[in-house]
Amino acid sequence: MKNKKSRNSGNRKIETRELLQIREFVDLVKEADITELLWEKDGTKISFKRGIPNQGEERESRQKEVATSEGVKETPQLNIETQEGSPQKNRGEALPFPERYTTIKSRMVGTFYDSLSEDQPPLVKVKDIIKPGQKICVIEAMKIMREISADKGGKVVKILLDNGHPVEYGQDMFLIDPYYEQEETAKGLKKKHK
Amino acid sequence: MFKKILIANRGEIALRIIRACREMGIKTVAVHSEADRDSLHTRFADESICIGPGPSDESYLNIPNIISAAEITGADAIHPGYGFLAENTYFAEVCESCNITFIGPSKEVILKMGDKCKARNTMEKAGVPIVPGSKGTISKIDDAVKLAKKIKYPVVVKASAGGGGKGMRIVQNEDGLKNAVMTCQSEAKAAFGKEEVYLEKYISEPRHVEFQILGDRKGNVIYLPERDCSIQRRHQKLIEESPSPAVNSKLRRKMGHAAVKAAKAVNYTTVGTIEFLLDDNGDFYFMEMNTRIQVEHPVSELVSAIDLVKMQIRLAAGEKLNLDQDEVKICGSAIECRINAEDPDRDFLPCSGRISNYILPGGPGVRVDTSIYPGYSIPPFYDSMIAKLIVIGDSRQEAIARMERALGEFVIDGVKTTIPFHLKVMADEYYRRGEVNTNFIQERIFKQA
Repeated sequence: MKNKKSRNSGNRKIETRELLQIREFVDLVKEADITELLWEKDGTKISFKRGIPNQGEERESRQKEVATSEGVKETPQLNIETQEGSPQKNRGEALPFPERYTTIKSRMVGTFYDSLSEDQPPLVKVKDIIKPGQKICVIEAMKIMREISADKGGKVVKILLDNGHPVEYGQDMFLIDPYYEQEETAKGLKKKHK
Repeated sequence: MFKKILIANRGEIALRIIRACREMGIKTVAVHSEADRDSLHTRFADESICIGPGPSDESYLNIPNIISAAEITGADAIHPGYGFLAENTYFAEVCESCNITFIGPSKEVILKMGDKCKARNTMEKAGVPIVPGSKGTISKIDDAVKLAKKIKYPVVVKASAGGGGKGMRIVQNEDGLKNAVMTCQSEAKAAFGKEEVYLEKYISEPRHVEFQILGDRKGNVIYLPERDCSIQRRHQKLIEESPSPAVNSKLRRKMGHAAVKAAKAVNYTTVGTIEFLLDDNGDFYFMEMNTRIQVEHPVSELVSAIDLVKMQIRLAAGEKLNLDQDEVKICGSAIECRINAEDPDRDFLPCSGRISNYILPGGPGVRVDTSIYPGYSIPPFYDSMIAKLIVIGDSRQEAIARMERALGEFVIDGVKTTIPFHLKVMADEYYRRGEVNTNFIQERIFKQA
């Protein structure tokens, strides 16, 4: 939820028309659940390849090229993540966190609560490891409390909403690190070396 | 008066309502789908809430998310616009139970008028002329055959829950009747979940003339000068004008009174429209009632100098109608062209795409209601109307000349639009003489091409 002022600020301004158009395509690719799409019209050619995230190391960044008929790249350095929960896709507001982090988004509109009731401790705290299907918060909509389960697992890096805060559809609620295991193994290895 | 209104719609009508609210000092909440994140209604409202992904059944028809959005923003009323949830009884009911005012009629009225067959009976009882036809729904083919013989062919079989031209069949003789009833029943079942159909005499080459009515809770109802919406393609209105070239002041009074009767029969307390079919003899028949603000409301606004959206909000807040029937004036002649992102040369195929640039027409007597902007991408999820161009002139001739000029000034780059089609209609000699009926496009425009 944004008021008018903040909506128009920040990265949204930088979004070019091409970017917007491409973003729509990216959404289309995602929705159709396909891995590859080639689109050609009036000399403009856009090809998308959507990958499954590599286990471990840095995710491969998928490049989209927009070339005009003259063969000039209009937006040569356009990287858009089709990955679920990537900060880029999230309204173009980049979060200052490593790229491997992802978010758990709200699929409904309502009021966010971090625990089952006022006298209960929060369902999830920072640094907790959560598994898909685990109860992570409660969203109240139309006077009904609905327990929300995680759609993916990982280590909670940050809880992005305050208790009792309104939440809209698609809003990020939890920032999580799905690759925390590799990270920890890597750290462990380093320690051993020392 | 309301403090904050949530607009459960998108596009130009959402913008139209936001504009009315802003002028009235009412705060607005826009709800939008993910596909409409950058649309103007999202930007121009005081607050905006994303309620779901692009497809409308998951966003603009998602009642729980819309109601939640109203609750978390503290909106005290919801304006449904047209389409989507505007005539959804369940939505009106949910609003009521959540103590949010639904800006529209009560669920009882929507229910009464939404069922075309029930509406016919209500109107007949109230003394509003209806097209000769079946008393209720028809279940037996034999009854249909008997009735058709009595009212004479051609007849039309219509779905009770239908509308917008869906679920209806025109039948020329007895042989076709049986088939028509059956296909119509299965079509109605598939489209509306109810297979009830009824039979009516088919009025060939009628005009579509409708009356905007306004009612308050004290039982006052007035009508505005009629709108002629005869220019239609597949029962979709394309051009509307007010007043109708086929209606003189005597007929206007007669039809207007019938419209008021119709509204009073259901205790109507908001803005709405009574649609009539008008034949060559000046006989008119009740067709249906629309319990919402309509797409073509601006022609009435220009002709009567009444802001219908503001009026609708005031009436919903319980205010009394602040004008009498004899205060309603006709100040000129107005025409509206619906500009759709469709290719008229390819059977009006909808074109989604990006509007790279556009130039709006202007000057005296021109109004454009649109939510497009340069760089706007038309999402594939919603309808293809991208703008409404409305003009007013002293006379019908001046209005036509003005419309031709404004259409000529209107530039939309990037997608095909119906602008060339409208220019063709404006240039047509029959149209210029006001000799139109609901078959006009089929008979005049397509046959020429």
